[in-house]
Amino acid sequence: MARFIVIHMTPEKVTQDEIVEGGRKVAASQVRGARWLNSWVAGEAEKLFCEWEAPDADAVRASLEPTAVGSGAAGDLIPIGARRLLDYLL
Amino acid sequence: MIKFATDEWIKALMEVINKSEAYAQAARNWEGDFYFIVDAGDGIEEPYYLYMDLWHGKCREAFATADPSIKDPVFRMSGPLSNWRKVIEKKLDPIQGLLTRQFKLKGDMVMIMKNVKAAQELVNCTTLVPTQFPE
Repeated sequence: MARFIVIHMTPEKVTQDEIVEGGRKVAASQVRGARWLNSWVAGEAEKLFCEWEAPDADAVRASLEPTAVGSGAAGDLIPIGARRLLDYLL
Repeated sequence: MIKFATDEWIKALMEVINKSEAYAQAARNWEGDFYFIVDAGDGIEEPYYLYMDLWHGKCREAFATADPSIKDPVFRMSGPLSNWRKVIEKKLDPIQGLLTRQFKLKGDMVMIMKNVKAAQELVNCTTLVPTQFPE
């Protein structure tokens, strides 16, 4: 399985209910083997970083599509892999 | 020891905040006042409203009231006494508490999540107030 980082722009304003329900939608909409692993808020950068494990990028996009952070808001979707980084370092 | 959620307690917290360099730095960009609300229940008959005017790393005003109409703050964070105690005793992260609905928030959640460090330092300040909780 490949790992991906999805970078979302944080919305300008959002309520507690919208964030909680958005997270629940994402958790419920994981499809085609994609799995949402973790998220980090980079407050000052106004970005949300989400780590996914999936067979391919399209599975991540399909999982995000029905949610508030779906297509158009997904922004950059970057494949990551420890081995690739190590290939550069060693 | 100071009884939790009283006027004396919130004013003691204001004093701690205004002496805290760590809070001043973490919250240097924060603008927004709060009602921190202790819900009725757990032996509490009426909600307690704790007002704090937090502004660029300082607390400009703080008081306890039973009349919420006195102020109209930008944020209202409410929860049961047991959850407030967990936060002050560092058994519950307040952001996690919001995301799991152990606290309710009225106000912009994005602003809160952009200032996690300020929230952490605010909690650290509460731990410096010698607090007596009802048993």
